[in-house]
Amino acid sequence: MHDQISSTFSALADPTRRAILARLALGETSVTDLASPFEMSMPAISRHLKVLERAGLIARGREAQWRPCKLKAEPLKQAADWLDEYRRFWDESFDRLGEYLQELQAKEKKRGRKEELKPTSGE
Amino acid sequence: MSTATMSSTAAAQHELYITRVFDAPRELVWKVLTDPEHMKHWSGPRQFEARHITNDRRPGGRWRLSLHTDGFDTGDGQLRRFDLWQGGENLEVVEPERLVYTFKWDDNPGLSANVETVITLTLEEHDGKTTMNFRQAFFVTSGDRDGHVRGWNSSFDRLDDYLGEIKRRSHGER
Repeated sequence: MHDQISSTFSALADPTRRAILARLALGETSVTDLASPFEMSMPAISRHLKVLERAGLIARGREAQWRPCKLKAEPLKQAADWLDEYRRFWDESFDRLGEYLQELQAKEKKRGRKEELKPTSGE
Repeated sequence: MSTATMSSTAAAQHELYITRVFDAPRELVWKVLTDPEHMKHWSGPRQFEARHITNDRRPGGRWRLSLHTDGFDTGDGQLRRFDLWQGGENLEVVEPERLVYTFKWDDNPGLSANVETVITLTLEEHDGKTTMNFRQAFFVTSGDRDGHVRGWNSSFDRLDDYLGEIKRRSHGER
């Protein structure tokens, strides 16, 4: 689990690879078709595909010239679940932050009122 | 949800975005976010207590804290004491509007992965209320991270544009 998450995020860190994954989500695609929207050499695309394949995010067919690529959804779902855990962590922290801000300001208001009611005693 | 829909959503999720509006002025929100005296009152989930908080609020300065709990159930019914350390480096500090810092857990037992992250946080004030935009991006190597922080500007960074282009082309081919 540890290595898979790291591999997944390493793969997702590159915008070209994210774009490739998004294309594959629409269906199995040949390497030529994957490469066509990019102004990038085939070796460069191949390098990206190797990273994705090593990270377990795509499967590549073996038929000679074609080598269609296919998305493997499970690692991406794991990464999404892991992100959700972080979201819950921050949501709870920010809920607490909001409550604490209210407490702080309420205290300040009370202190302010007390100061107004106090006779000037040169504190 | 079909595999295709879920996968394209999951593929785009390599970052976390959270927006909150706090009923407080920006200067106060900034203080509560960055001053250790205040941070201890909200950092972490409710069953944890934030301790040993340090925060050197200058670019290049480091921050650190530990989340402590005496009774955490890791799933086997046993309550364990945990001290989960987290920390990082402040990259940009523009009080009271922008904060960029790295966030990483120490190698704590029980945490499934130890990916380095960069958090970008901006505060805007309107009518006495503060809008906080929070973004957390996940990296594995510092090369990945530095590329991001310097402003990765690939023409395909806008995923929506790319998907639109792909759909247009594939429709043309049919």
